[in-house]
Amino acid sequence: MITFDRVEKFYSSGNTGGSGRDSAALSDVTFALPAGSFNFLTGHSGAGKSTLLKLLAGLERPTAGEIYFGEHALHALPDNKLDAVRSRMGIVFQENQLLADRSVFDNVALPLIISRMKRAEIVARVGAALERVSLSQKADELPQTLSGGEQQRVGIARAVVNRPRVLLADEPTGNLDPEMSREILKLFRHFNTAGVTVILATHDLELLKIRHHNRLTLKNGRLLAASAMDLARESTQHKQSPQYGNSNQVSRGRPARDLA
Amino acid sequence: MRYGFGGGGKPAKPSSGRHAFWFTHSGYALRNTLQRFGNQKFASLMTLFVIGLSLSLPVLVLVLAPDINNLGRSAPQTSAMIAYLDPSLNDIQGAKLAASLMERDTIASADYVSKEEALNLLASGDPGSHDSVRHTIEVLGANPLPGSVVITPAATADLQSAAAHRLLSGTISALPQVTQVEVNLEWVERLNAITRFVRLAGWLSITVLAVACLMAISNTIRLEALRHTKETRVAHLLGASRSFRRRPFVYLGAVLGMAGALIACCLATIAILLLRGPVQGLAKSYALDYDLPLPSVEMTVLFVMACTFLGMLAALISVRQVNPRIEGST
Repeated sequence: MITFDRVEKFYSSGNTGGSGRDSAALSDVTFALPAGSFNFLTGHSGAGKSTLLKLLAGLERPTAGEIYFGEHALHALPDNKLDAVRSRMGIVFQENQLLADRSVFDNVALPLIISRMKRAEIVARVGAALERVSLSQKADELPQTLSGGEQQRVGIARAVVNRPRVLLADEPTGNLDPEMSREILKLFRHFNTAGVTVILATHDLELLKIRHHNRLTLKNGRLLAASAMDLARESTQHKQSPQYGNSNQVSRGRPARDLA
Repeated sequence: MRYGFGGGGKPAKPSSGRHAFWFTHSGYALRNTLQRFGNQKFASLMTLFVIGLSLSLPVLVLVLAPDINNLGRSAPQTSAMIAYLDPSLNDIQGAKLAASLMERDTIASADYVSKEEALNLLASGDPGSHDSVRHTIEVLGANPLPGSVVITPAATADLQSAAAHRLLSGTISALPQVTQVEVNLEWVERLNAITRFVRLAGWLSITVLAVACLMAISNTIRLEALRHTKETRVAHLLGASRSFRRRPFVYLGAVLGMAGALIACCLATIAILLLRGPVQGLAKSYALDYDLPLPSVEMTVLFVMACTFLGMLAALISVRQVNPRIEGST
């Protein structure tokens, strides 16, 4: 379960004499996402999508409010604990953030090295992750020799290789053609089916046509109502689906309250 | 949790040949460091030579300073004083006096020189003087030289000053067996000045060494950290700990310090070997048998260790300054 409770995030513009509260990236954002759910985070540029993901990944601290990732109170954790929590999340970026001078294998292996995994386990997991994104044959290649779609798939392999509980993706299809975007989305759906909570920030309306998802829409840093159609559908589908159980309901407002 | 990407297909190719060490935090950091050297061989070599050059001067001072100090003390015009004895004393009495002087804490050595030895020394000093000495003795009818005791004061700090020498010579000249004490106070003062200079040069060279090492390496590391911002940021995004993110730079600092120190020692050795001949010639002109020393193994090991430590320290300082800006606030 991921919970945002009255979260606010302000950025100081640096010209207000140190008050530091002149630019609100997020205001009074409250929601709860059940484990194993598939969630779209939508909104125009500057709506606060990336800020929300950064807060969730522990890359930023909220100015006010509380953020929970399972049992971890992210807003209160010290930096080193945040690093440890983040190492158990999968993060996919619009610009895939691959290391240009390392092979595909080395890029995907990095989260496992960080997690102090043994060589044999690293080899097995990287092999499996690359196979899942159909890049086994490119393990020795450098990222710049791959196409944009392939690079994004390497980024996804790196994000899931550590078997995270949650997968955060910030505009992962932003630089891809529609066909490749659908392929990438298919991968996310696959991981979600396996139980991973997916939060995907996008403004690609094509992606939103898929079934079984929750949708959080941000406007000017405020969370608007989640899509009623989606939520109604989610509610029906999840009640029928044994893999989701009855817990897969997005909530807006106070964390304990269900919207569906 | 099962992801379902385990079935069928070939495993990733590069896995098979890699040693387990390269998958550890240290192995990963070391691989990064070596890779960076490998990717920019020429630039890395230039950097190492700049560090080596900046460290070579302090190495030269560290190697030569103690030796110059010792050279001063071993010169013929040393701080030794000569006590000329009463001509009526025989060799046994002279030797006894030397032995009694040796018992004093303020005296390092006291060697009795008999009248005959003094005459022989005088005669052997200049081939042409032998005949004139013989002629003088024939005229006088006996050896006119007195017995003497050559006294070397103890080399403790408080006995190095001209005042201490004056006091000691006064004490010895007060002895009834002694007629006159000869001491080259000018040389003592000069020697003390040299000692002070060498000691100060030693400390300065250590300070210069530390500062040069810190500055050269920290500047290199700062540039490296800025050049590898993406890598640091990615590691941060993937949840790497602070020590993991810093480790490649700390290792780089250690390698730069170590390699720079070794290059500095090599350069200093080459410089000393080149200077040896001319310095030997110069020393001979002062009637000295002197050879410039090469850096000892112990000194080299200590120096390399110190520079390695300083390199790591410089890296830590630089990375502490640069990395938070790269990583953003958390």
